[in-house]
Amino acid sequence: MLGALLVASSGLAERPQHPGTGLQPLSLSFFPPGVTPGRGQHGPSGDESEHVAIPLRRYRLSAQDLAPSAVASVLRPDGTVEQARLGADDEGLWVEVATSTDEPHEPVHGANSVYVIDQQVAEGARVVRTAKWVALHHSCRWGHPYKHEADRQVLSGLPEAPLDIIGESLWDGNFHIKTASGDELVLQVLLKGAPLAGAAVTVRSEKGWTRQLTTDAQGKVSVQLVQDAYPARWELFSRDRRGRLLVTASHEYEEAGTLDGQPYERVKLVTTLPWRYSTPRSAYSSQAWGLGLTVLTVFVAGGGVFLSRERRKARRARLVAQ
Amino acid sequence: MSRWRTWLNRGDVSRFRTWFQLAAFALLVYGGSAAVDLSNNLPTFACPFAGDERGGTCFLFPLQHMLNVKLARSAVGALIGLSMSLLTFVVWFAVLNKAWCGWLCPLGTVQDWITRLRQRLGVRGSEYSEATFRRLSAIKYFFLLLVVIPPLGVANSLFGLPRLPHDAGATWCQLCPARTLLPLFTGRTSELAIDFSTTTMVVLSSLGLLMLGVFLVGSFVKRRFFCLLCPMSALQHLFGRLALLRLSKDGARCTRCGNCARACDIGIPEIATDLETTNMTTSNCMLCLKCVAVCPETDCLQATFVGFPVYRATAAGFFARMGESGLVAPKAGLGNASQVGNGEKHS
Repeated sequence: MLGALLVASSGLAERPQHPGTGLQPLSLSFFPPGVTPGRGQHGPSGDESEHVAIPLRRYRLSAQDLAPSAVASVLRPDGTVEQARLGADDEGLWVEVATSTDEPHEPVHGANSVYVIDQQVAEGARVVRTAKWVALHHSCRWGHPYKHEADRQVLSGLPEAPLDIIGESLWDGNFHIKTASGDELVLQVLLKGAPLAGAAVTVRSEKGWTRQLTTDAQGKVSVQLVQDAYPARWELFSRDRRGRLLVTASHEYEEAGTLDGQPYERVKLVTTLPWRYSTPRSAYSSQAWGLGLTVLTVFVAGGGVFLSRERRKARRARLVAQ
Repeated sequence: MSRWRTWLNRGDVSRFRTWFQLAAFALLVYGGSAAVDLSNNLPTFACPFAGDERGGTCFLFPLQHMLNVKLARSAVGALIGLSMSLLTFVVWFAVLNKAWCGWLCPLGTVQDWITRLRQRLGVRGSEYSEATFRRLSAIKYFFLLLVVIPPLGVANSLFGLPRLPHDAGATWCQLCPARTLLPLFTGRTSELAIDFSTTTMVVLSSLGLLMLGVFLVGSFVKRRFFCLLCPMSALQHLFGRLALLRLSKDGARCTRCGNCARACDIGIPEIATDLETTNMTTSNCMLCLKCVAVCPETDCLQATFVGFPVYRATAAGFFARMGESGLVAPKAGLGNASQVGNGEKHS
């Protein structure tokens, strides 16, 4: 029952267990369990809108087996860190982030990163699970005066996060998510704030498409996302459809110690970052048709002008002849 | 001071304007690359579809965005936001008035380039009859309604009618030739496409490309073809009384030689025929000041800023410019100076 609940809450089936510990990676979701994203719920795609400044955001946790010491925090665009609230209801565990929508917007206007960090010992390993969510706090009513201030979209790592995932160039200059299927997604993995080489990264889409990668010397991986929006019938096509993917980074090293009185011999770090991707414009627009129509219009309108002038010229010639 | 003013009045305003337009085009289309952002409420077609390289944004874009609100729920908030944007728009507009069209508009500059191409190719231009001119100049108000009504109709049920589809929220932008044309200058060809995602988008993107075709042909055969139809021009005219820069005429000094009307790229007949009105900055005028440059009567036409003359018609200036261009002076009376003005024959 709990397993079914977790799968429903994340929308990502067949979640892998963290090897050798029996603990599942922890992830956050915008939707409560059983809710299917649909148009008009929160934004055009039913997803969390990046153009609505939501004063209180609640995210659902994928797992219920958190240690009592689990902490939740939010990293604001100005670099400050605030505590977030962990709680539970009939639908499971959640984390709540209150973000001011009052003036001045500066401290919170931009990318806010939410973290839930859970640590517990399982099968002789200290397992540190981090669930991350990146929310863009922005309102169109505030205008877009920061069009050229890319600082608001730069993501930095939380110093307290043992293992962090940073996405690069996630939004366009107008604060819209620009990741589209078929695009190259670049991610960086940080270990206590420093780039981590050799970390295992898995990118998995809601439809089960998976890529397993290893970070380079700069802690980066680059993955071309699958193009998976092929509706069976054209009328089912939705330009606003958002595909969901889950990025999971993991790293393991030998270290002996105790946590809450329980000894461990190694440390396993696993962090998840859910992200969304849209349908690329090329999937539903045609430049060939567009150029064809433009050229046709030019020929028809130009021909009309030419014929009209020729007719006038002929009339004038007839008048002169008379 | 008087020597400087004499030099200014004898100057070739058209040549200066050509270079000014080029600089303004670079600023508004590429200025963002140098972190220039004049505002989101410019009274000119600085098209947001041209990308972040642009140096500002056309007011019609945020205007449609702000009108797309549920009036019953957030009318006050929308009104506050709209008022702030409108205030910025009016301040920008008040300073330069219709010179935004004649000196800064990127779409206007492109039209001038197309006209030059035609002149180079030796193809003759067209002019409208007075009746056609009047009919066409009313279209801009219809286009202004297209800016205002559809966004309101997306969020609200107007007159008991069903709400419009979400894609109609920026109907004018979909139709505007600036959307399809200006992104080409920043290397974006994506707007030259028909969007098949929804029925509304198929219709609007197709109409937008039809408009582009008509714009290209129209601009080729008629100087500043699109300016007569431009909804921005109609919106500007609503705030015309607040403008500080004006084109003034002293009818008592006018001999009705008609130079001004012939030189006018838009083809405004009143500039020559109206001897009563002093403020000649009509809804169609783009303050290019060509009319002032070709006026042989001292102080008959002048551009003033808060009443202070900045560029005046003078006989000396007229003869200096005619001497430079090798053209001859007109005799008095309408229709006697076909050589003066833009130097081309029309059908």
